[in-house]
Amino acid sequence: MKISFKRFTPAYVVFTMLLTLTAPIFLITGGKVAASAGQVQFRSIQLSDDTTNTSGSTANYNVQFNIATTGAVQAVVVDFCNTDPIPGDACVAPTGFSLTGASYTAGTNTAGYSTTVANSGRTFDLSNASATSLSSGATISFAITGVTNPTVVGTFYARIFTFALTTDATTWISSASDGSTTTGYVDYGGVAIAIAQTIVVTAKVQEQLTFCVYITTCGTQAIINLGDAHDVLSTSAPFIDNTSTYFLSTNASHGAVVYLKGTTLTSGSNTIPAAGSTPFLYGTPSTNVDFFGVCSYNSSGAVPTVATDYLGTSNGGSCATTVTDTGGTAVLTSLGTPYATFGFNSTNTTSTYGDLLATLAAPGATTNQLALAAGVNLTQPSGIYTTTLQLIATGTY
Amino acid sequence: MIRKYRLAAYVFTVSAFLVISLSNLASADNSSEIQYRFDQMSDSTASAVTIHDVGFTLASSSSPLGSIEFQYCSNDPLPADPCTPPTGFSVSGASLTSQSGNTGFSISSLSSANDLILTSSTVINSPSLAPNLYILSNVVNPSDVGTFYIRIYTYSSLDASGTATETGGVALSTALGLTISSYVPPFLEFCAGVVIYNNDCSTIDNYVVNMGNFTTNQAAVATAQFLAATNAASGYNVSIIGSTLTSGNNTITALSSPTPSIVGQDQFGFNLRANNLPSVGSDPAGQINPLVPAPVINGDYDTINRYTFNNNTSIVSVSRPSLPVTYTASYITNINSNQPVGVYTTTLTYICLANF
Repeated sequence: MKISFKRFTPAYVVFTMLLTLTAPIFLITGGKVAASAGQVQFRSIQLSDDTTNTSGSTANYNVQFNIATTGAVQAVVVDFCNTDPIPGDACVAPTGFSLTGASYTAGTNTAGYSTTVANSGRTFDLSNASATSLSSGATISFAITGVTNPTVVGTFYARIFTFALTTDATTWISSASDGSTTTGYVDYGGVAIAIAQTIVVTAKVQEQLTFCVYITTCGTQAIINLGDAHDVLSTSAPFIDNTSTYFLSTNASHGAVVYLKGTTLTSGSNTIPAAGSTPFLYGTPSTNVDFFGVCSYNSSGAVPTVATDYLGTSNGGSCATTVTDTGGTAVLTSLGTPYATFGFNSTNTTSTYGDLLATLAAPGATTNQLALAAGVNLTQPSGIYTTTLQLIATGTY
Repeated sequence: MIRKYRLAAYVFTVSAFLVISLSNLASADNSSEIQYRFDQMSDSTASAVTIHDVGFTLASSSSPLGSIEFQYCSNDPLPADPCTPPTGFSVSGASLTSQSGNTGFSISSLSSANDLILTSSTVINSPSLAPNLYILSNVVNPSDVGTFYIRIYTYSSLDASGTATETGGVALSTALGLTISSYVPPFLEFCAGVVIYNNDCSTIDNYVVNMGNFTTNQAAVATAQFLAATNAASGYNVSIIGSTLTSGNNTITALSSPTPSIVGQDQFGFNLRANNLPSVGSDPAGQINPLVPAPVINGDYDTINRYTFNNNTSIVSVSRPSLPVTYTASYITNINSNQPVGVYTTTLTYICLANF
């Protein structure tokens, strides 16, 4: 008697109830499930990639379940079908699906198994004639590797069968190429699997450049009174101030450059000589030197390439070792040891775009200090000397 | 049991594969992204009237190039977004002062305060992939400090109409300047002593010149030095005050005019030069040689081997600011046989006056 279970009809309900009551007594012939089979529990198949196969790429299928029946599991068959997971129904491989070339990676209780692919790449047979007995509830897991996913989006199914003997699996496979044989296996179970559409998320990352010059916080005007307590410059040593900070953050793919623009310290028609176009060392040949200069060093973040004139290292010292004078007497130790060097190429700093100070080669954020230095000799005309320096940042995207 | 199977059979393994595509709008609106794009300002201060160098390289030469649009916005650089003009920004008075790469453009009358359109005289059917640079002068920066943006579009049309063939954004920033202020006070450095080393007043340790015993057959000689430096615009003037050598009521006659040293005559005088009759003294010396500016020594004290002394006389002057210069006063004393015995002394005061 062949009974169709595909519709949930009142007759089916009646039969189901009858079956439930009489199953231990009667052997149903012509049915689709062997009365002695158990259902594997906690079964799942996890895909490493659930997208349709459009480029020939493959996925791994992690198969896991707990057996229902105590005994040796010498073979596990996983049959992939496009219509349902029900044993006994004719199985047709999902469109585009293929196990051809698939292998396996052992998991729990599956070491030492060998694999066979049957039914034109639809059926995976994992077998081991030496497998020993497992208790009911024992976990079996393994990964089928190199699986070619279906080419259409939607649900497809896997039917899992366990066999006590490897020959039982071989017989089951060979007895019906459509996988409809309902005898020979010990446990069974179905799993539904879905091939899904990808979710495409589009976001905009806009060009960014944040730049500021400050002493305390970004956005505050940086004003420096360079000198002693009365802002007076000295003939005995330069005054140093390295409290000026510039911060640059950009996602410009080709980085950014920072240019220094402005004049040397100026009072009317008088100027304090710029340190020059090459790194300037204070004290050569002696103190009592008239100059204004700048060096720069990185204090945090990405490290830019500082132009040679402004590195401060030409004498073996470092711009970072300069010390800000705080209003007392000018001392040579503020220049660091050895003395840091300074630059101020006034030809370039007064040109249209200024003088290159630093280059940030790649996107990033950088915080840097400017050390300003000025000393005078006895002939420097008296007066209030000022300048406003601009730092101009340009990103290339 | 079969129903149980039916109900329990399905375990869905459904996951979503997220493809996150981070792109700018250039790709979102299907136009190509302009490469190597930048906007370099000659002045980054707010409200500055400045020059903007806008540079970029086309990604493709396949689309004709007829016009270029530079749109300045305060909100973002994304071409498809509405543009908020930066406050105070203006290209209304801008001029295209230079162009390279794809050339032949001029500013279109379709331009507005924040939207500058460059139109070509003819459509460039296969534009160059060389770097383009368009220099815009008289651009007024935003009045706010901070980041603003330029959106660059290229079109096949001559009037920036139609779909942009390529787009790209640039972020740029106005910034506060760094103001530095210092004070240079009036300097006048002046000192006098027996010896000054290395033009450094701090090396003086003796202010008394001892000329020894006077004799009628040899001139007594001695030197003293003084140093002067100033940043006074008109330099300085040094004068001398004092008397000739005196012992009680007796004096040694001061030479009122430049005179050679003559043994056996009553003479007291000095000059500021290196002499050889007798051998005494040095010429003025400073940190640089020759001295700049050159000191002007009073002619009475500037002749080698000629000595004089007159009270309250200017002896040297410099007309401009001067680095330290050390002067050597070379004193000579001769006596005749009638010169009364005694200890002859004098105190000479050098006075330096800076002319600011």
